Amino acid sequence: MPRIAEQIREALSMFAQCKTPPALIGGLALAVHKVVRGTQDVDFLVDATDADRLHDLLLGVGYRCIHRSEDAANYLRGDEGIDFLYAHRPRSQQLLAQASEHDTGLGRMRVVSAEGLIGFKLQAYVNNPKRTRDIEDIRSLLRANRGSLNMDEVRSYFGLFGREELLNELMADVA
Amino acid sequence: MNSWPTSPSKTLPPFVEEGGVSYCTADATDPVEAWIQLMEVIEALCPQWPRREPMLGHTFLL
Repeated sequence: MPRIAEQIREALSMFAQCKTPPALIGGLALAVHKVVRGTQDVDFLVDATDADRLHDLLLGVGYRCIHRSEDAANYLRGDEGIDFLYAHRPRSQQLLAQASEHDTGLGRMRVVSAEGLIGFKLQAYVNNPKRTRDIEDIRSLLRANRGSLNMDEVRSYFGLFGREELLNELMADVA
Repeated sequence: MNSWPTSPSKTLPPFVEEGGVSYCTADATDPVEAWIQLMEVIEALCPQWPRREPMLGHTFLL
């Protein structure tokens, strides 16, 4: 079992103490939506009201907090990182509430929808345009889930960030 | 010269390029199991992970 898998299992066991179980986002969540790539990213969407509780739990197992704001937090333990986005706006709270449960080799975990994952990938890209990996992930998600995505929801995320033209370009690529 | 071995299955991933080229799993394949197997190979090749960039930025709208 790879080391990152053990790290995720440990995180999932800690989440039992959260009011709302966090949901997987980021690179590993891609796998649940049929896109597999190597990633060291361990990212979760967390109810903002669980942030303090989770912070204490993480420090208790040896992580240190390297950044924390009302929107996101980053923790590090050696070379193991774990990142959180805090759901405190209606859209992210809805995505967290609607996250689906999956039985996996890592344990039972909640995962954000493919549409929501595209939204978070787009948000990450807008915040750091050097992260072209996020655009490649969106393209792969569009291709792998073509026919099953709620495109109205996907369009709403691109509209939110004023990137409608980018979605048109990506859709032309995967057509 | 193309030294890439001929794969018996189109679901097998290419090897490693910037952490792994993404690929779509066949319907019968558990994608999380596929990811675990891929990460076993990647960790064997790269036991010390590069440091991640913090999740910074100011445009959080979701």
